[in-house]
Amino acid sequence: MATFISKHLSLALVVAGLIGIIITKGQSVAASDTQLFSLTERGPTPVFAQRMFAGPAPGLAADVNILSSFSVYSHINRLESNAEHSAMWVYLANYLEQASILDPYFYDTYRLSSGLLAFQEQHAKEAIEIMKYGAQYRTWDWETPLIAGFLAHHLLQDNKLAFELMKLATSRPDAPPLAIGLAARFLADSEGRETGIQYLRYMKSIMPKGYSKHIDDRILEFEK
Amino acid sequence: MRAFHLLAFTALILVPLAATVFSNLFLLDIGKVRMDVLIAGNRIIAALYILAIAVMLMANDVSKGMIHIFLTPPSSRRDYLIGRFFGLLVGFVVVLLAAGIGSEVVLGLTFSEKIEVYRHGLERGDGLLLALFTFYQLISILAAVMFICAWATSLAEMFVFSAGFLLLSWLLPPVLQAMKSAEVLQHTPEWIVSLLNGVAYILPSLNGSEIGLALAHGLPISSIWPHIFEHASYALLMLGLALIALLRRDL
Repeated sequence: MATFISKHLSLALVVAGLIGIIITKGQSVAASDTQLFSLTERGPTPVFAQRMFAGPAPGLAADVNILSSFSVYSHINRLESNAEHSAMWVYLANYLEQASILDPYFYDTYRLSSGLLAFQEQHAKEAIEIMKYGAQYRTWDWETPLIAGFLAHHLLQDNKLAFELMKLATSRPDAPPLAIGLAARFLADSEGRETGIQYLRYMKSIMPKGYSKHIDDRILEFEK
Repeated sequence: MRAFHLLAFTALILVPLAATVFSNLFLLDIGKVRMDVLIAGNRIIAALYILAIAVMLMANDVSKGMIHIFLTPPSSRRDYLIGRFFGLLVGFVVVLLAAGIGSEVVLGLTFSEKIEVYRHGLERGDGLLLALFTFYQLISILAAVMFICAWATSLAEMFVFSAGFLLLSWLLPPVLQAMKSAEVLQHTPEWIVSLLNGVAYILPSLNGSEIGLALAHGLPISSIWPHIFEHASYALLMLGLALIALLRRDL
């Protein structure tokens, strides 16, 4: 037998390979039948491992996390039980968080955080945390901290955090006057009207003249 | 030659095509996703170039005795090694030129997008810059592979050690970077920290993931020159070691 195999080594390898393929094929069919890898049992790979495998392209690993979050969201829409829903939302939050760590400049992560995750009661805080993290890196972007600030006010009723984020938005190039008005409003809600007016006066002194009229209107509104 | 054509074709057509298709799965930052695919594609092409062309050529020369054809007077072993190194670099320039042209076409399509966020941070010439960025990182890796091939005895040895080195240069820098973070250092014994610092000192930062992110988002790259210098120094060191090994070995 051994002599036969050594004489026909290539043939023996081909046969062994074919047997291996047939065996694994059979196993994979069985696995998909029993839903061995259903989404409820699978979470994102740790960010450390993803960073390692991505090597020089961590951005691509972030992209894959975003695609995974699409897939989880599509799965959520097909689920019926509430318990499974909550487990899936945890996965979605994890994928978005990991995408933001791997590539903190990636805009899609924050758009999905504000559009999907924030409106889940248990995950609003996480969504705002993810957006706050990204806003620190995306120094050209006023939109992410502005939306995060508004969500912190609207969903968490945390005016202190809302003011902090709105203040960040106002420090960005081309930030709209709306951000200043909202920042002042959130500050007034948490620290009092007088502090809100002081903030507006300070902003008027440092912002370009084009913003002055809008800020004056806000001050008048607070003083009424 | 066929491998070379295949790599050039992949760089010119397949990777840019993959970037275009993959990016259409995303919402907004489409230009960035295209750059990510191009970065990963170029690095994989570079690795394949080293394994399928550089290692094979060196193995052919050494183990099949082809090297004796090149070593006829007045050519010396030094001339052979330097000639092979720069010859392989020139070959890679051609592949990367194809990659640069393909990338420029894909990025050109991105520029035609009307919505700013689709093409945020990208500028004309980024495709060629990306090719250049891949090229200078390859120089040090290629020199290290020349060193391996200068002392390894056969194709199997050359291939395994070179593939191992490529794998390490892909995996290790992010691990070292993560291990050096303050959070991880708190839970790491002091002797492991010293060991890691030693390893990080010996190995160059071959990964360049931060530069890749900066390119994809159009961020300023402030530390590019030290990075290039580090790679060039490492290439010189490895080429020197390769020369020593080749001069001392039996052929």
